[in-house]
Amino acid sequence: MDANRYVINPETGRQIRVGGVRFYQLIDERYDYFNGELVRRANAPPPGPRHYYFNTITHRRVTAGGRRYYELLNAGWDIENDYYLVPPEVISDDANEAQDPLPTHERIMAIHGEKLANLNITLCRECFIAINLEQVGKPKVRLSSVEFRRYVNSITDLNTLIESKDYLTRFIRSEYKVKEFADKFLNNLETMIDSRHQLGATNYVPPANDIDHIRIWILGFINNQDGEEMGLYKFLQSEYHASGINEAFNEFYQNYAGNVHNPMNKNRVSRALSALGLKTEMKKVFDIPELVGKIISYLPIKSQCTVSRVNRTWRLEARRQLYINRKKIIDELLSKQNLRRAVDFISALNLNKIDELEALITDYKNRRDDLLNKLDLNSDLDHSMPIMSELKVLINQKIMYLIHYIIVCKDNTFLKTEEAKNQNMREWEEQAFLASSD
Amino acid sequence: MSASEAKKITLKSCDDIEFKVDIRVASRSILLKNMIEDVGETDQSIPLPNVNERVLKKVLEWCEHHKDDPQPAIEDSDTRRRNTEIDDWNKKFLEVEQDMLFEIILAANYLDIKQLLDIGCKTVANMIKGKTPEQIRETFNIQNDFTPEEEEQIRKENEWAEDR
Repeated sequence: MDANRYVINPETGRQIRVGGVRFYQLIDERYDYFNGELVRRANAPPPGPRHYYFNTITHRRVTAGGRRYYELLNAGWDIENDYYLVPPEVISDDANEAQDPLPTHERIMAIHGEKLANLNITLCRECFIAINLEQVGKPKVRLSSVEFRRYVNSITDLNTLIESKDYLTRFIRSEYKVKEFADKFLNNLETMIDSRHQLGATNYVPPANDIDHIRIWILGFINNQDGEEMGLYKFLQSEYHASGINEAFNEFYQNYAGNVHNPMNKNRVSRALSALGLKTEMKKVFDIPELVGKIISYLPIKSQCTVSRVNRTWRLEARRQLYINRKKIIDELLSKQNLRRAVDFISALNLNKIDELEALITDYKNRRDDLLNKLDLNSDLDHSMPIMSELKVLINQKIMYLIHYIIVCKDNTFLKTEEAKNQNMREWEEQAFLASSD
Repeated sequence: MSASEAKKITLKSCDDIEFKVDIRVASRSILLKNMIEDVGETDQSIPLPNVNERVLKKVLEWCEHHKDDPQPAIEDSDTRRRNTEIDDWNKKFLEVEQDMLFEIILAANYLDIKQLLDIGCKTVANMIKGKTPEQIRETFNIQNDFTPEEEEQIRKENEWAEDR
């Protein structure tokens, strides 16, 4: 018989095993297991940004904040259940869906496949753009405009310019697809080079600003286009002209992607920045809460409390770690009969002490049941029996102790003055301890 | 050595220095591993805009040394926390200046190299242990953004941990 129970992970929509690693990770960090469901705790930190979405048409993952992601959103796609990217037709017109099904590659090919084949054409599986079958398998080498910009910026003297003539002309031809235009560019460039040569015979070295002038003239050929790259340069000019890029690459990209209509992907942006000689700033370790939390997680409990006094970020992360380890800490304090400190600790985390103690009792009971099961299963292991029995007694004592204390806490709510409450708590603490020792 | 082991890719640091590395070495980084799987083998260099030459060299040295290690399994978070020991090779590897250590941690975080990130964080945690908040701020040049009242409140909050 399969004894495993499963529950839906609210973050991914997938089934996970109750008691599995992922399950405990969720319980530890931000969920309560309640009525067979994972329910997000009110005091859990807000969910982090999603890294991927699911394209419901292509069944592929789409990177959040990437070019494709923005293309889809700009085209009116919507995000459902914080995960599924759904095309506008699906959302806006449910009623017409049955009459006017979404065009898929298979449907289009079923209707028009033969006609397209006669024309030697097929369609791209993803974007349905027509592709000439003769070109399939022979991809044309596309010259990168970022590389072009880098190349132009690296020209420092006339000789390099002369050597680069061929590459520059090829780029202009591939970019504008008009041979006459590329020829005109080459003629103008050669005229410029010749005029510089004539100025000072063979050993003429043009001044730096002269080469700059030619470089600007060449760059003008790509600046005239209103392409994706232009968006980046306009964005750089408007936002970073005065201060330079004083943020990490990821932050810069987020800003750029959020402000530009048709953003390029990270790879191209990174190449474009380096072609311009621009560098983003490195983030510091302690500026990233995730890393602060990770470092704090390796500290002993007492040090975690100490570092919570460093600054606000550290406090938040230290408290998060204390919260994750709360059961262990309470258990440890109770083992040393520091009931008061255990309660102070629970109060410091703004938790309900009765809830926490009851949860601890449940834990103890589960541990006791496990122990009893082991005793039943391993009855032949005589040598382990006394230790197991001792453990069982210890756990029982702890349970008794906690039950008594919970009664004190509940009883205390009827007392009016703090002094009376403290007096009552001390008395009950002693009684609870005595009762658990019996 | 099998054919796949000999395959290499080129990584480019933010200061435009290229490193040709074994795919097996680069695959210690989950980011690069996924990238290679998604894009396939490519002759083009992979730009790493957040890592400079000095740090990338060091990170690749770590990856080279650990290339045959099994990929880390999902650990029990509690076990991970208790185990703050670092083996000798890693300890020696991270005997670097503080700036370099932090840059290695950032690179490990960016490249998604869990084990390197773990030992980096453990090293910083070992530097923190036993220090007062003031000493920590001084060591790592951290700004104190608490008011005196808040500091007092937090001190009281933590009284339960005194002389445990």
